[in-house]
Amino acid sequence: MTEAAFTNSIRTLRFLNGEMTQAELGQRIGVTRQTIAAIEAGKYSPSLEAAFRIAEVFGKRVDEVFQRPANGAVAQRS
Amino acid sequence: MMSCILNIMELSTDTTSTISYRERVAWVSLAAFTLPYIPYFAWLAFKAGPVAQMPVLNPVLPFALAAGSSAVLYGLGRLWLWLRFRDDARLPLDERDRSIARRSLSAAYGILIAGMIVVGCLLPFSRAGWEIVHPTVAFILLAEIVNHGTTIWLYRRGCHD
Repeated sequence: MTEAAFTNSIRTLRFLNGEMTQAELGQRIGVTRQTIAAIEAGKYSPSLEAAFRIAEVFGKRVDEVFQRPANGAVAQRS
Repeated sequence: MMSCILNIMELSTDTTSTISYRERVAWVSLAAFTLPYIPYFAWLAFKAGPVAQMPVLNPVLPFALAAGSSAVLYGLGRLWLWLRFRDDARLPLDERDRSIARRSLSAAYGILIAGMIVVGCLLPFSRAGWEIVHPTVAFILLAEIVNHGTTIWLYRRGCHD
């Protein structure tokens, strides 16, 4: 099983956006709450379209939501 | 194991479960395909005497029992899931569900094709009757187990295209 190639700040951004729930975010981008949980946990790499939608919800750029670690390894999943 | 079953069926009080409805369906399907057929194939493997030839329908009753049990288990499982998780059941597949389904079916398709080559192209030259029927059922079963097993594996361990 391949590891996620990047980390993400979705959990932090949800917290900063009025403690948005996973279900709310999922509803806004067209995926289930479980898929948002999987993305946050690094268990699923979203499509480019979903990544852009997530970034749009938070008013951020994609690279502010998803980060690729400098050494290529996934050190932590925020 | 018990906590896993409780989580799948969500009999526990945890309401923030991250288990997808499709994963629950895969667990039910896996159980419905394996539980009745394992005793059936065990019975076939250990029963005394040669395998009955085709006009003899002795194996039909145990096979019908296994197939019927499988169908009943699957039906009851799906009904229970639908009643328990009705809101989740109504949601359409999202991109993660589709990605996992695609990969699972792809793995199962390979098994199914290999099995059909064996039972359709090789076995007819040396075997007949039930000695072809049983491997056919076994390969279909194996393909289903690979399909649902891969689905569960990808939901649990992660899916990165």
